[in-house]
Amino acid sequence: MKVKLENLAKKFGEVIAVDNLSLDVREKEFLILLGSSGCGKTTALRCIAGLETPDEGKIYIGNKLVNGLPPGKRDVAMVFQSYALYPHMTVFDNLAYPLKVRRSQKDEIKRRVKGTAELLEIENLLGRKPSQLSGGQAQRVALGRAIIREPRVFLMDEPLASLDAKLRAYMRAELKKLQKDLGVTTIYVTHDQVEAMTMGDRVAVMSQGKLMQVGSSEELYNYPRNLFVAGFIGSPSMNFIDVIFETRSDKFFLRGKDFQIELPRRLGEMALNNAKDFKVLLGIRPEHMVIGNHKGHYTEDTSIKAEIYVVEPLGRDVLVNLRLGDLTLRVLTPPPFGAKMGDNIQLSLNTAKIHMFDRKTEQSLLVTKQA
Amino acid sequence: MKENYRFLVEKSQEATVPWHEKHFKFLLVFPSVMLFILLTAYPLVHLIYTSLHRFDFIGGQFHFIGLANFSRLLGDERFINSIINTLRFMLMATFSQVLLGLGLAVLFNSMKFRGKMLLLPILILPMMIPSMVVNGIWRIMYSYEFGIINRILEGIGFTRIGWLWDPAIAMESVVLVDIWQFTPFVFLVLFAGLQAIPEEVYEAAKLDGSTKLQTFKNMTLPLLKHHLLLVILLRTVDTSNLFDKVLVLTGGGPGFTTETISLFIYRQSFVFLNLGYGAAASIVMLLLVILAGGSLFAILILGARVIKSTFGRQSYA
Amino acid sequence: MHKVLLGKTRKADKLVPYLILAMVLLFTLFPLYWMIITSFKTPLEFVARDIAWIPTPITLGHYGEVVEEGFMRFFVNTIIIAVFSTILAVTAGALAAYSLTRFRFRAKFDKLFLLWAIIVRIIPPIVFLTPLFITFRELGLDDVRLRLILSYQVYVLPLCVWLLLGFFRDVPIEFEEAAQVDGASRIFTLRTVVFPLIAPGLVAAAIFSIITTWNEFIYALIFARVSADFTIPVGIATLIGEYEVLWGALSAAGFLSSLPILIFTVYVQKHLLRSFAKRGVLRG
Ligand SMILES: Nc1ncnc2c1ncn2[C@@H]1O[C@H](COP(=O)(O)OP(=O)(O)OP(=O)(O)O)[C@@H](O)[C@H]1O
Ligand SMILES: [Mg+2]
Repeated sequence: MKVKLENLAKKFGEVIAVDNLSLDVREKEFLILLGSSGCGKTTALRCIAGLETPDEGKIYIGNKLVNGLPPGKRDVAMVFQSYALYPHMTVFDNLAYPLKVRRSQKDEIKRRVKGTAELLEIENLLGRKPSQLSGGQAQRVALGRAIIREPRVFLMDEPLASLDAKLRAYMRAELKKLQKDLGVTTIYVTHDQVEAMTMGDRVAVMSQGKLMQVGSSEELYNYPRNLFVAGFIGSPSMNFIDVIFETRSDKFFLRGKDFQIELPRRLGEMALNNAKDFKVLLGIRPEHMVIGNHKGHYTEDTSIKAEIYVVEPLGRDVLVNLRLGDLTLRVLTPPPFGAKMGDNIQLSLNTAKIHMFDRKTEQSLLVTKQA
Repeated sequence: MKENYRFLVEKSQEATVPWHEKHFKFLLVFPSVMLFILLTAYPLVHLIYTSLHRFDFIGGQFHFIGLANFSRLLGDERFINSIINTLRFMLMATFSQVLLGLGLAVLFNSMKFRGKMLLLPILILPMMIPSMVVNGIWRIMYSYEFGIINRILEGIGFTRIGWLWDPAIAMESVVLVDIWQFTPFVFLVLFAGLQAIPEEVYEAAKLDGSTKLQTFKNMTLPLLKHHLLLVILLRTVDTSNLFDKVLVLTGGGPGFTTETISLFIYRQSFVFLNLGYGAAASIVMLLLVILAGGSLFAILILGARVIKSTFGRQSYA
Repeated sequence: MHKVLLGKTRKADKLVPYLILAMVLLFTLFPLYWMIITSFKTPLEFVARDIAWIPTPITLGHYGEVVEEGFMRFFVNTIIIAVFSTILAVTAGALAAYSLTRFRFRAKFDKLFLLWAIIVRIIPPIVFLTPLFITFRELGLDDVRLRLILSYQVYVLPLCVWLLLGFFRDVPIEFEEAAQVDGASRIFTLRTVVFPLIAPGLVAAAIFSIITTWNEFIYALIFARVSADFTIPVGIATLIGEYEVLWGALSAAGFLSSLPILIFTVYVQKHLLRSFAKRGVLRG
């Protein structure tokens, strides 16, 4: 079942929660709505569910316009962040509730509750009240209550947010598999990047009510369309440096205060096509820089002199904060890392992984004009 | 209401939604609105109408006399006297109940012994039993000749006291009954408020080395502010209605020393059948109570605000 | 020397709260004790030279008098009136409070409604007496019980609305939204999700309402003209004459009519404390 949002907008008084949001969710797709706290993800989801009336815009489920349709008639199931399991009912009754609402037969209810419980491995919990469940168990029951109806669309609002890290990692995989098995279109809200990158077929990044970019994890990581997505996706986040974009004798350069980098020809041409100003922002991820002069890998020209500031061992990597004039750059480098604060080092950039942004519009300069 | 408070969606253009779903919210408030209109708003209109008339109970007719009832009231010493009596009772009863109730609540809250909570229903017994029973008990105990209070007084060498006869103390006797009956109410509300104050607040205060009195002044009182405000308001409002106690304990006497506004209105309306005059007195009483309640509320709220803005937030820290 | 003294005062200090509490308990319980034993005393003992702390012999005669006075009838009247006013107030109040917490209203209707409820709570009941009397006559409502059930709404409806408002606000709206997404109708949601969740609130409102209506006097005094219509408080008032008081019958009737409320109180005290912590909107 497809879900389509057209120019959706919702205000709460002065606060613009959702701003002109258009989005296509494909058949059977697992789409993630990603964004920082308060950016309007929940509001968008609630509009789709019918729990919030949008000020403007259209919502289609399948090919049907559902604006004005009450939540119960939209045939969507929602998993709330708080789970909203009815505290006065047993797990069985919680699972059976959506069926009871539809006046299903007693036997039918029993059969389907049993089937759902088996699928989620919660058969032994059926007699318990929600207060007697652990976080993970409650989460499964909440999922079960959504699944049992066999709805056309699942809406999930940070369903894993209140689980501990280990359980969350486990449930990520479970949930993804379940979604693929059931083949039901799913819109999943989260502010957790890792969840977004690992679970979704595609991720829609939101900021202040606006849609910033939709795409697969790889697309978002490799080809961020704007400054926000570039900074938001990836951890530790991308470094940004003010530079001047120059072409000299058929070559392309980015010139900073005390360094200069030659751009690969492909990137340079693309940027030249899009740039409106020679003052641009250079973006480079911490993992795309190397400390020390790695001959053969990065060219001489790209090396920058910098001073080591703070070194944070992260386990698998070491995060090194460098001082470059009044700039601070973060670089990921493999351990062991011997240098200390104050040491002067050489820094090399992987120029193929460079991003460039217009300072005013904050849009990427490295996009080919496409639909 | 809170800013981020959520409501249920209602807008729905679909024709298949049954009408009772569409107008659900109005259907739900309808019974209460009807009851309020029928039992309060409409009668108030009636009251105003009646107050502008003289009721002729021989013919059962109302005659329009304008504001004559009101001008008569202003000159009626008995009415003025009843207002003063009511105010006296309100002040004495509310003040002593709040003071005693607060003291008892703080004391009870600070005590720790086994089975403490079992004492609670016993301590609040007086407020639970019917007012008329309370009046009955005290009428028996206050009895001049054979009442237990006077007999105990005699037993320890005092003379008998005309609790309900002596104009000098009749009102105080009535106040005592009200204290017995409603201090438990004040106690219960304030105790519930104290229970809601987390233990850490007191522990923190102890660590800061504040004395018991300081803790009470700086922690307990500010945190109990809302509960105190509530009981003061409720007791003020309720004591202004004093009726059944004086009706059966003193009959408003001796003389008119304990006649309250309510008793005055009751007698005008239902004993002398001066319905118009009683209605006029009712309106005056209504205005007085709303005025008193409103200004008390304003004073308490503003007072609390002024205190807060003067002393800042330190009292909560 | 000093230390010893200090130790002694400390010990005495610790006793003071218990002494005060004991005195409070004595003051609270003595009148009740006195009522109960008075109800079992013979009239001779009322006036005996020595104070009779414990009745000997015990007589049940006063209870007979109470029955003769028609108190059985008063009991039935009071129960019917208290139960039906409570059902009416709790139902109407719960529905209104729910609607006001969960839906948006135009033109500040919700705030006006709640303000009106407070104003009604503040207005002295005697003010409504004459006009209610006239209103009922206009409407042709003659039944005294019905009149009282309706007039008691003036006391208990505002109380129920305000009390339940707090309970509804404490229930997260997600439960209802979940039911809504599942396709439950409004009424079904109310019945299967909302009301079960605020059951403690309904109980608390019912308790306050029953106690208030059980104890009410002034409306009952005016509306019940003949003894067949009397409620217990009015019945008791008839035993307290201006000059003569029937001690025995009065005590017996007082004890009997307090008994249900006393048992009730002990039984529900947990609820009481909880709802008082929320909002103590009780008419004294
Ligand atoms: N009922 C409401 N009334 C007023 N403002 C609201 C309401 N619901 C949401 N908002 C505001 O709208 C904005 C978007 O809220 P929303 O809940 O959609 O954010 P979110 O992206 O889900 O955030 P989070 O990750 O914290 O859940 C916020 O600024 C929020 O304060
Ligand atoms: Mg959210």
